[in-house]
Amino acid sequence: MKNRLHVLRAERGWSQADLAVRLGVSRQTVNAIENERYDPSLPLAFAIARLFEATIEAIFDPGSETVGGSNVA
Amino acid sequence: MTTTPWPSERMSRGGLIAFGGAALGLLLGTHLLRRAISFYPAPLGSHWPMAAFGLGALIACGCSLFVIVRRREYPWTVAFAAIALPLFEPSRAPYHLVDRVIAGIRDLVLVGASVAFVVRGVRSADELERRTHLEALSWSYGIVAVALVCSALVEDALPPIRMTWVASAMLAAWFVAWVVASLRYQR
Repeated sequence: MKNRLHVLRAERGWSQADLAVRLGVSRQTVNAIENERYDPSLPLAFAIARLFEATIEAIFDPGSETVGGSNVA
Repeated sequence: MTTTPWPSERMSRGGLIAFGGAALGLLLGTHLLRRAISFYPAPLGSHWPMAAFGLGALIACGCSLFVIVRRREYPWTVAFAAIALPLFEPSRAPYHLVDRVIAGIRDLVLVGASVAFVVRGVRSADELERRTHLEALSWSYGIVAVALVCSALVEDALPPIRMTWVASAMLAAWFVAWVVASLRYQR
């Protein structure tokens, strides 16, 4: 899933490790989300949105990904 | 973008060195002590250096395991257990009942402590690490199950398979599949 995590993190001057500590996850998890290799769970997505004071939709963009065979977008 | 050669924060170069030391110490110590014991009726002077080196190697193994536990790098414990399990040979169990009970309690304590350490590590893992464990377990145990069924079909042509080998294969496959699954989520 496309996301703006890297941009938002860079705006605040945080490293991946800094963000990981703030979210209570490992640096590998932050790296995987930024590289669009892993979609976070709903609680983690909410935690990210709360941390950056934005909505989930403002950070994550499902694009044309499909869920259960139906188009999300 | 930050990159790391390790698939998890639970693995490091120090942990790898400790794992290598523990594995080498266990294999060397077990081999030397078994050879020394096989000379048992012979005079002590001829084989005690071998026994002393074997004991030293096992102590080094224990120290290395302590380093792994202190660093909380539980994946190395899984890999170490995969190496250690085939060394458990029921046919070499002590003859006397009391010695058997003592050896059994010792093994139970070792296995119980290892399982508790790994479970604690997995429970404290974040969602991605748990997911990689789930993927690794499903792949590795599936592959071992298929391999077992295949070996059962040709069991007449194969040597008898011991349960410790199967358990070792499961743990080794879990460790390898977990490393592969973890690396898949990194760039």
